[in-house]
Amino acid sequence: MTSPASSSEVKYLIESSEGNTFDVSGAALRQSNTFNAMFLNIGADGPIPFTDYNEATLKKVFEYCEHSVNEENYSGPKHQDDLSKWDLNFFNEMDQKMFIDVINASNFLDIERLTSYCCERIARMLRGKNTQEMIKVITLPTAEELEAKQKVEEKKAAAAKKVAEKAAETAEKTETLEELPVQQLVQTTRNKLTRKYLSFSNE
Amino acid sequence: MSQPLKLLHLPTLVLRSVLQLFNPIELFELSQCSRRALSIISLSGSRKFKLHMNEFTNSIHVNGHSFLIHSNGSPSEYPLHGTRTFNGSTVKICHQSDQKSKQKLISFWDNKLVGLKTVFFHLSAVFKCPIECGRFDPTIPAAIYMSIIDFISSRQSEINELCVGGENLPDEYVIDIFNKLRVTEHLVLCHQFCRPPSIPLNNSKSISIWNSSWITTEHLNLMKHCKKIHLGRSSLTDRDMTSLLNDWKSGQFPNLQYLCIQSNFLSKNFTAFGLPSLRDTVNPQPHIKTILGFIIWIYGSVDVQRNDGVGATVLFDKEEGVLQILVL
Repeated sequence: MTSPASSSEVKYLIESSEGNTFDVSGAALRQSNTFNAMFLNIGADGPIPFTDYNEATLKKVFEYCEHSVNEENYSGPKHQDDLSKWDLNFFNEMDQKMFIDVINASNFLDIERLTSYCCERIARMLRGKNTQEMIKVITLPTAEELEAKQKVEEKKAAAAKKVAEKAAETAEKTETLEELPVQQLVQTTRNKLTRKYLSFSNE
Repeated sequence: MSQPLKLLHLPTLVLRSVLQLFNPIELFELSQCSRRALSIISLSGSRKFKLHMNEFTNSIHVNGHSFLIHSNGSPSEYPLHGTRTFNGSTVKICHQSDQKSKQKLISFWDNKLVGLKTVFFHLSAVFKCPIECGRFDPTIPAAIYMSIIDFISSRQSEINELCVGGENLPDEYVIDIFNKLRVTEHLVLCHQFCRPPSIPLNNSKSISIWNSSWITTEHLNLMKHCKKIHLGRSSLTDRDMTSLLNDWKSGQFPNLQYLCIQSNFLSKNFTAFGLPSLRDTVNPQPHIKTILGFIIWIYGSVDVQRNDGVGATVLFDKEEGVLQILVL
């Protein structure tokens, strides 16, 4: 970190998960409440590590911060219809993965304006939709799918239990006839049961 | 961004901010997506929602958004939008929105009362919010009414507005309701007691008793802090009414904004405050005022004053045996 005379000229070095560093202005960085709480007063020696996020995500987040430096003070979430052309382009050029990464980073950095716009954007994706349409958007399994999955799992578990019980019974009979020592008998049965169960589970 | 969004993978604070942007019907739709989706609904702050049940209109209102219950005979009039599951019962539904952009969700049931109860129980569980208001037709079967009251009283000890009464509802059940629930804003008592009951009448700002033949001046004294009192079919006499009016004049009903008492035991020439009549037939004027959300209208009343200078207008309708006081 440098320590120039004017705070608006301050540049901070940010470190991403790849270990790469890049510059962000003090004015942009101060939109992050996390940064304000952690570094503003005490300063930082060397790059500030935001290593949970990759370079592309952090650059995207701070691109937004740099842009909104000159905007009026944030006064609550805007409706999507009120977003500027720049804002709309900013969101539209992101793919789904980047969008989620940006939300997560913005949430961690506590950048109120960006986080609330992202939330509004997600809400807009779901607002006015019925259950079936929502399921398509948010990739949730339907109740029927969950129920069917649960039934299959229950059926598998019951069958596995039955097989294991039968195997234990057979093993017990066989090993008793051979008059093995007790410890060896227990171990042999346990091994057989495990093998049976594992082979069934793998099917 | 056409790829699916992993909503439930979002950080909790983000998820909360997103859910707070949804109205109760959108949240309900989301809750129907999966059990996990259902489990996140309260993140939206739904515990602070206002849930009103109105059996008169077969509807449940959550923050002004309506869940309407219709009979299965009527779906052909509506465009259906699939099915939804309420407490294990899957029924057809239809979405509508009114001019104020408030959404409505209509569900169709074989039995509307069963539907209303089921939807009510389901929504209370989804939103986990207290029930603010319960309005019922006095002809609702006692069994259904009591199951709803038991449900409400198992979750809360206070309710803003409650209508107490049901077909063949025994006195002891009604008294038990008052032991379980404190009605804080508006109590409507439409039950007809066989014996004079011992119930609290000092908890509510507004009391409306349809059949108040058991009400005495002692009961009236319990209502001294009410803003609005409405008693139908009372057995109060001229003497009781004179005593009440004198108490009011001396300031013993400091909050009273409106009082309306009907009694067949009042004489035709009843009057008070030394006035020749409690009706202005020479130059009758209308008075209108909204009290606790109710529009009160009086015509041809006589202006009077409390001892502390507070003005009011009083009307006695000798034909109906109705005395009204409206504090101006």
